[in-house]
Parts: sequence; C-alpha cells; structure tokens
Amino acid sequence: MKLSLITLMAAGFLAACLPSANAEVIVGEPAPNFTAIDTNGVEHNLSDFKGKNVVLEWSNHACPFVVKHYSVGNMQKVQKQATDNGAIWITIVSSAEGKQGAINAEESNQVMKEVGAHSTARILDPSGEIGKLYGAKTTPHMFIIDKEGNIAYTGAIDSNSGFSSDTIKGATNYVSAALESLNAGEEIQIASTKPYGCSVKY
Amino acid sequence: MHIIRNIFFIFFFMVAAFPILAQTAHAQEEPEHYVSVRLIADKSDVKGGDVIRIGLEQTIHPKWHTYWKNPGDSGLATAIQWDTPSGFIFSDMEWPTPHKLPYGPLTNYGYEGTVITLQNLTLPTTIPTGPFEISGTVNLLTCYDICIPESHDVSIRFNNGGAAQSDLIAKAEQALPTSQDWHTTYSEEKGNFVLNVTTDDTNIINADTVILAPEEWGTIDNTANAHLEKTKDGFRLLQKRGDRDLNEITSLPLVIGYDGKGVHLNAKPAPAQSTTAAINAPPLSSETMPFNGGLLIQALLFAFLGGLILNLMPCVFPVLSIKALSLINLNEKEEKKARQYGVSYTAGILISFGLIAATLLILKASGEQIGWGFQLQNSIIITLLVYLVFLIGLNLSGFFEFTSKFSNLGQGLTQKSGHSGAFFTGVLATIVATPCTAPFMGTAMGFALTQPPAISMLVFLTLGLGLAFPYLLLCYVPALRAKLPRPGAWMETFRQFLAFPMFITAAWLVWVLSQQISSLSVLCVLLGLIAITLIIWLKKNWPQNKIGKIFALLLLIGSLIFAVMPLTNMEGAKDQGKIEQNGFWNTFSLEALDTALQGNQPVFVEMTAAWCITCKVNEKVALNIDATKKLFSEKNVKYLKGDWTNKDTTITQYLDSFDRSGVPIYVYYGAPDQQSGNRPDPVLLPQILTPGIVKDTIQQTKK
Repeated sequence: MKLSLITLMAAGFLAACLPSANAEVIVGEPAPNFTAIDTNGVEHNLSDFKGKNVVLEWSNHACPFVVKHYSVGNMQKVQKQATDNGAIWITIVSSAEGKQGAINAEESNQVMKEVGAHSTARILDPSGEIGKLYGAKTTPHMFIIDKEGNIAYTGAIDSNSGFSSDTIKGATNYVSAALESLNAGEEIQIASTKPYGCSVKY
Repeated sequence: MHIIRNIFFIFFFMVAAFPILAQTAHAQEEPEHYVSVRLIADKSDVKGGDVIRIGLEQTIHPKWHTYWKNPGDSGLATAIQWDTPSGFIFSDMEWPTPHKLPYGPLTNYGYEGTVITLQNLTLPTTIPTGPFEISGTVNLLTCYDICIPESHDVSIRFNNGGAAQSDLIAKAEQALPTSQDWHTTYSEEKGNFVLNVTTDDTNIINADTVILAPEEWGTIDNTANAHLEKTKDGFRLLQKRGDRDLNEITSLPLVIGYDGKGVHLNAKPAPAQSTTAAINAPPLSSETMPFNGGLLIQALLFAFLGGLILNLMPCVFPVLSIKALSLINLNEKEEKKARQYGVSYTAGILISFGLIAATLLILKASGEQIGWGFQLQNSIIITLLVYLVFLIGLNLSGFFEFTSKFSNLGQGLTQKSGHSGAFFTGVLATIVATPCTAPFMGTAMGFALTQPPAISMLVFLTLGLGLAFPYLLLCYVPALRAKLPRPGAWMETFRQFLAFPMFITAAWLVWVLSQQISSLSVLCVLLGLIAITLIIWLKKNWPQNKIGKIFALLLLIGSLIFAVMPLTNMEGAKDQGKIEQNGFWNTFSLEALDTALQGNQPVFVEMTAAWCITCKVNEKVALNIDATKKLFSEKNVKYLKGDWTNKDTTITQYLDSFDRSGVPIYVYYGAPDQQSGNRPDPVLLPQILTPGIVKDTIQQTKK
C-alpha cells in the first residue's frame, strides 16, 4: 500500500516534468480535427477522410497570389492530379464578412465552376475558426494531411513567391512533390516551407 | 477551351474584385498606384570604377504598407531587378529597421509612409562617355485591407548635369540599423525563441519598446512580443517560437528595433547544453540575488513560522492531531520511545520536503518555467491528492482501517506505533500539506527559488522543520504531553470529526480541478472517488458464495478501471484557465501590459490562480469592492489580471522579474510624469491586501 502510493506520487511528479502539448500545426503530428459544412451543404469531418491524403488550400479569390495560380490553370492542374490519385482537396476561405474574398456559398460555387476547379469541397470559414486552428497565414497556404491523419506538409504552393503567373514555370510545386512522395511511400523531401501570398483576411 | 476558361476566369475576378476596389476608390481618391518609386544616388557626376550609393525610394499611400526582407506572416519583400550591362555590380539591398504591422492574428514586417532601401553600385572601369542610364524593374506588393502587386520601371541618369540627392541618401543611412559584432546566440527554451546578447550597450536595455525581426522566416511567432531580460553581460530577448525547426538554420541575421532605431546582429546557435550540465548549472533565473545574510535569516524565520502554521491547515491538522493523540497512551516510562518517534516523524517530513525541493530545483535548472504551486498546475497530481485526502477522510470517519503501519492513523489510538509508522506519518503530512503550501506559502517559496540551490534547499528544509516542530516538541517535553486531555471514548468521536476537514480539502481540490479540466473529466474523478469507496466496501463485505464472488469480482474490476481512468484520460477544459472578464479589468498579456505602459494611464497588474486562497480573499476584500472600483475609475487605472491556474510561461516570467515564484502578486505602475514622460518605478504591493493599502499605493504614487 505505502509503496504503491509513493510510486503514484512519484509518477505524478514525473508527469509534471513532461512538456505540455503544443497547439501549433507541426509536421508529423496529428492534424487538428474540424467539422464544417461545405458550400453544397454537406457536412465534413476531417477524421472521415482517414485513409486518404487530404489537401487543405486556403484561398481568397480576389487575392493576386490566388489569381496567379488560378488564372493560368496551375492550381486546377494540381487539384486534378491530387484528386485523380484519390486525395481529398478542400479549399477553405477564411475571409471575415466584409473583407476581401468573403463570398456566400452560391457565389463560391460559381467561382469553382468558372475556374474549373477540381477540389472536392469548398468550405467558408468567415469566423476564421478553422484558419486559426491551423494557423493559416496566407492565401494560398497549403496543408497536406496523410492517410494516418498526420500533418505531412505545410507551407507554400511552390518555390517562387513572385506574383506574376510567369514565375510558375520553373518553380518547384511543393504540393505536387509531397503528394507524389506520399503515393510512392517515400519520405517527403521538403515538408515545411514559408507560405507566401496575401494575408488571410481574418 | 483552356483559353476561353481563362478569359472567363479573369473576367469573373475583375467583376468580383471591382466592388471592393470601387469602395476604396469612393472613400478616397484611388491612385493609379499605391506606391510611387524612384531611384536616387549620392553622386551625379561619376567616372569609371566609382562606387555609388544608390537608393530606391518608395512613397506609400497613407495606411498602406510594403514589406521588409522577411515580410513576416504574409506579404512579399520589395525587389528590384536591374537590367544593366555586365560590369555594373550591385551589392545586396540594405533595409531600414522595419516596423511590426499587425493584421488580425497575423503580423508583418514592413514600412509605411516613405522608405529608402540602399545598395552600392560599383561601376566598371570604363563607362560610356556622356550621360548614361541605369534602369530596372521594381516588383512590390502593397497591402492595406487588400493586397495589390505593383510593377514599376525605374531609371536614373548620370553625367547629365543633374543634381545628386546626397542629403536624402545621408538620411536613409540614418534609418538603417547599425551593424554590431556583439556575441549573439539563439536557442529554444520551453516554447520560446531565446536570443542571448553580450554587450555593454545599455540603450536597448533601457528602451521603452523592443522588437525582434529575424531575417529568416518561422523562427519566432511574429505576433508575440519580445520580452527583454537584463543579464550579467548584456541582455536576452525571449519571444514565443515560430513554426520552424531551429535546427534547419545555421546562422541567423536579425534586427533588433528599439525606440525608432535598430541594430543588425548575426546570431549563431547556442552550443547545446547536456542535461547533466543543465542540472549542475546554477538556476537559470538571470537575476539570482546576491547572498544577503539579513534577508536569509528573515526568510528562514518566515519559512519556520509558515511550517508551524501549516499544522493548522485543514489538510494537515487531522493527521497531526491523531498523531499527537497517540502519544497520550505512552506512559512515562516510554519517554525514550516518544523521542524516537519525534525524530522519525521529523526525518520523514524533512526527507520528503528535500525531495520535493530537489525536484523543483532540477526542473527549474533544466529550464522549466515553473514556480511554487507547480504541483497544483498538474491535474494528475491534484487527482491523486483528491484520492489520498478522500481516503484519509474515509479512514478517519471509521469506514475502514489501514492494516499496514503506513498511515497509522487509527492504530495510534490503541496500539503503539513503530518508527517506520512515525516516519511515514511525516511523509504523509508533507504530501497532504502540498495543496496547502501553494496557496499560503507563496512568499517564502518565492524567495527560496530565486536563491542559489543551497539556500533554496535550506529554506525548504526550515519550512519542513516548522511543520514537524509541534509534534517534536510534544515528544520531547513530557510536561506538554501531560497537558493533553485524558484518553477516553471521546477520542474516537474526535477522530471521526476530523474526517470533515479532509473532505473539505477534497472538495476544494475538485473545484481547483474543475478550473483545469473539462466537466466530464471532473465527473470521472468524482466517479473515481465512488469507485474507491466501493472497492473498500467490497473488501469489507466479500461474499461467501460463488455467484456473489463472481459478481463482486466484476464490480471490483469495474471500480478499479473507474478509479484509474481519470488519471489516464484528462481532457483539458476547452478554454483553459479562463477567468471571467468584465468591464472592471482586462486579461493580462505582455502585449496588453506594453500597450498600457505606453499610454498615460496608471496600470495595476494582478496575478491570481483558482487554487490560490490568498488571491481569492484579496479579491473579495480589497479589489472587487465598490470603493476600489470607484478609485480605479476616478484615477483612470488600467487593471490587468493574469491567471496562473494552469502553467503559463509568460506569467512565470513576469513573476520571475519581481523575484517571485508564486501568486498572488500585485504591481502598480504610476502614471508617467507629465514633463519627463517617465513612469515612477513600479510599486510591489504586499501579498495580503486591504482596501487601505490599495488606496494608499494609488494615491501616493500619483503626484
């Protein structure tokens, strides 16, 4: 009795030494879960997608850096590649009401259609809850979650932070590269980069 | 097909973006560009081989900004692409000290108004005869509520009889951070990026505002504030770490901005410290106080008194009373035995106190931001304490008797206890005292933790001695024992009564838990208590027949799972450490304090915790009362309150800066002097407040 109690106390003190969990999104750590209703009224829970790679793309259709990738079909191309290979692609708009990029579900679907997007779903997050949960900073800001539900990649869409669509050619697309590595069962070479673009309009 | 789609797309964007731009345009004349740029130089007549200082001047539309080399959370650094023939060599761009530009939860580094970046242009030995032109393209991103990329063609002519802008260049040089070769290292400590700078310079240390701007992304949380600490040979800056693994970087150029000026430093990673080195090192507190004999004696005295007072605490008193009563049964011949018990009991207390103190000191030396009270910031420890205190309560109430000598609570009345019994009673007294030391012993503990380890240990042991003293005295002075009431049936009644202080302690600890974990987890802990009771009851009423045994066994296993479950699955409360906010006060953060101190209001800072009884009493008696509310509103006092119920590095650092390691703390920053603009030194209020003390402090400091 006395021994077990003392052991328990000691365990308690030991537990106090362990570092506390960091809420930030870290590569290799489990992705924070969220539930949201998409622009078609369908409810999604991130954990529903276990067993599939998930790409989260922060977007704002009026941000020049988003335009950079959509106007020449670059983002759509990566989306198609990803979804053709079984990944789930969720575009998230965290623009607050009245701020740039804030649109309703109908307008959002219209944009998707106009640009020929291949994303699985589009989620409007005007409260910025999901954006802040993931620490999304820019549009675009990309996150890849692997089949086990862990963060596999965070950062920029590609290696050239210029705002002209001309800079896409010759740039390394980090998202495509990471997804290819995941599909091939290889280690992702570049798993964390600095996101670039407009600030998310919280 | 693609082309059609793209045209559609661009058209849609234009339509979508139009209302936003139109709105801006309506409010204020929309310029063609939000930034106008031009090139300037310190010379206009040049010859081959000359080095020209060339500047790119950006004049930015009011409220809009452009970006520094590291733009921060978003944005893009302004860049220039020169299209000069070969032989013209440009050095890297030199940037003025950037400003922090907050946008919601994001922060950028950049500039507003007019800004000039500088470069050296080395001319080839042979240059064209007559006037010639240097040209390039500037790509920049400018943002306010929205972001607009701009591209500008720029050029400057030389040897055409024009005037140089050497004055503007000289002014631009002034705005650049000065490069210093101060020894600078960085490391990560408990979620903070820590920069250690060796310097004799005192300008930064004495500056009102300090910002840290690393040239690499992701090293710090850009939105957090830099916290400056003076060290023996310079200073250190702490800021919440960023998303990136620091090991990815081998050297870090950075700028420290202060009072409108800046220094440029090149930081290297700090050499890794081995764990043993960290343990042997003196405590990390940068301001270890010099040894002060007088202060030490005072602290020891307080610690001893504190230990004495602990005996009266609801958690300790019952244990001690029972122990004392056990002495009644000793007759005079057993004098020697009594003394030995006293010594064993004292040893039990001192060894446990020593162990707790050592744990704390080692944790602190290894960089943990903890202070006294840390044992109540961990929900598992509190849960164990709830269980323990509840068990003791059940034992006292007579629900069950311990069969081992460990607790010795019940047996002491009828049987003679052994040495180990006395020793473990000492250990038990220390353990049950831990929840009470945090709320009541803050000051002595706070002093202890800012001292070198040896002195800290001495203070802790003195506290233990104080706790042991009354019993020790009883054991050594038979005359005192003679004063104890005669044994009798009342003792059993008294013992049962003593269960209630234990239950009260348990109830209080559960309340503390409810501030830290979700209500569901609290329910689990409460069910755990019932499970414990059920286990004991089962043991007392173990059935004789087979079916009963199986049923009892199932119940027992179920109860065991229930009792252990709360320890394995602590679900944090959704909003950790929440304290209700109201109009009277605001939540403390370093940013809030900085902002408040930059204003003209006097500032009152309070650090509290749910488990801190002294804090709660002070709030009821002296702070949360009409008189103080009226006083604060009359004197326009900004009231900031921090909650240390859970671990909070920022608050621990704040406490450290006042050489405290526990709550409560009350600090009053008087209003700045109207002529000099300087604030008087902050006033530290006592830990026990009265309305009078609060009033006097605020009225005296205000000139």
